[in-house]
Amino acid sequence: MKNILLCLYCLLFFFNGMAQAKKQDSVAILIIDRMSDVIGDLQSCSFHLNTSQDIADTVGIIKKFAAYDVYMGGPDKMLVNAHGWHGHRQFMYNGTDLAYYSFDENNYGILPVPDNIIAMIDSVHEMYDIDFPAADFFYPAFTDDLLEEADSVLYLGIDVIEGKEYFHIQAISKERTYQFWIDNNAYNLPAKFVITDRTKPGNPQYAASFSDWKINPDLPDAMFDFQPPPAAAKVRIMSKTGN
Amino acid sequence: MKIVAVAGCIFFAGLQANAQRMGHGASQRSMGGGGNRGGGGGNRGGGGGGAHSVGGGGSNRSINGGSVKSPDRTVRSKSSGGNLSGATKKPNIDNDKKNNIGNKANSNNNIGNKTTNNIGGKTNNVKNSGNTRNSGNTNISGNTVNVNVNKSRNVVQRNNISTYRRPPYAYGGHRYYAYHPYYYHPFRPFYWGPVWHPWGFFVAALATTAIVVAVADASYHYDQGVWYSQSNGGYTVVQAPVGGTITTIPSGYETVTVNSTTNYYYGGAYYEKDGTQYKVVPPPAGAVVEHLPEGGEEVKVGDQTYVKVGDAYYQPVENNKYEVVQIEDGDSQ
Repeated sequence: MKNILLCLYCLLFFFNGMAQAKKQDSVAILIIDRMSDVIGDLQSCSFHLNTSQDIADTVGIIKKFAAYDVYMGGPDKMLVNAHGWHGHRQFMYNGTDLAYYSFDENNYGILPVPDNIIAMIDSVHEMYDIDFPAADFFYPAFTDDLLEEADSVLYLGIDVIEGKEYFHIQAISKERTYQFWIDNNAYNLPAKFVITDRTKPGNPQYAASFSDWKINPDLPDAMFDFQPPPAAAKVRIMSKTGN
Repeated sequence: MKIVAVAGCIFFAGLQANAQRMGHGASQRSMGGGGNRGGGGGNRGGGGGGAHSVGGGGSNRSINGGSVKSPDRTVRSKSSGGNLSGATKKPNIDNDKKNNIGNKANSNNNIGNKTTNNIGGKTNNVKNSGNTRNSGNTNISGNTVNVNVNKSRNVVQRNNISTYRRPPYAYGGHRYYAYHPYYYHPFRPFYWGPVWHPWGFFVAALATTAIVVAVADASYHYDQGVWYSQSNGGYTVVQAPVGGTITTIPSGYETVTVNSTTNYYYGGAYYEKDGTQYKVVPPPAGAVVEHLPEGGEEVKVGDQTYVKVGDAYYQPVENNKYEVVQIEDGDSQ
């Protein structure tokens, strides 16, 4: 009995120690919360995103680039126009369906999806591995997601990049390191981020920069409705499970 | 388990790399429970079914339903300047004029700034053109009834190549190997002449040249490159049964050499020479062919569009050809 109590005490001590091992900087959390609140209050927005991504190749790690124009209308409209190493593609979400159109191949697929942007993003990620750029920031509990994922969330100070000030925040989990640069202005919107994979050789990075943020623009519903171009072929989109 | 297929390319990422994405357990719980696949709860509006909801106005027109904060956090953002970080420079949230944390965002709406989407700007040719049947050859009894292409066939495939120079294309827990780079061209089904019919095609009677071929416990009819199974008072075209042996194949076949083995390809079926006979074999990974039969289906696998014929996946490659993809379990390395 004494041994059992001793073990329980050790376990409690161990888990208590684990919980306390997380470093959570309240300033960092304040900044992230502020950003998340502003995003949560948006009824619509648009922005441009430039990304670079390290990928493994036979010769080692190589870098690939892409650019995105993103339009979101709450709660259930989204359009992403993507150029880059995956080609020229467009995703259009009208609250019911997500249309995936390839300009290069002139083909498209239609997926029935949930009725709000975040559930749609989550659903197509889970079922089809379709990830929208910078989608993390738009999850409603972004700060909690980060605190859950990361062992350490720290505010590193203000960085000045090309004459503009940004709050620099770092989060570290077992698998990844995140760095965020958030506008030091009235909106506190995300400006840049870098995700470093700590588990793969060469520590590949995914980096992205936001620009041309527009707050609550007027986005007519019609721009989110997909009309197949003439001669476009409809293809089936295979899910991760092969269906 | 190994799944064999047809194709060959390239990159390691899906539509985007997962590296850009973090876990969203808290958000998913706030949206009404773990997973939230396919359900979505419409507007969460600050209350939303989850365990939390502290800040966040939750306008029902919000792009994400309004921000949500867990009440269980050990660290609150309201604490005044926790100095945990060793930050090189700390913001003076109350006094620094440059800092706008906590100030209400000024409205600066940019109404009307939208770009035009050139959806229809590109016009590619598409399907079903150019594949004309030759006329004038013998036609099996003229009984062309229902063209009912059967797309669900079991074509067992052979993974027989161990050394691909290119890294595989990874999607959904599978790696897709091919020798040749992905080079998309629209799928146009091919017809091997007037006596060839696609899988699922039904005829009431066969030509007198048809022969009966027994494979395992099943009996098939074979005539001029087409395999039939007796059904509904007639005959339905089926996939060539693996192991089926015949003495002649039509002259329009392609020869495909994979791993020093010559395959004879006709009508979507692969044959290997066995003495004086030809034996039906599964599609060999790495085989490159020019024509795919009607019944093939274009399938978007991540970013790439393959043609699925039976259970075999063909990757479009240069010169309007297709390569049988080798599929193996596993994510990108």
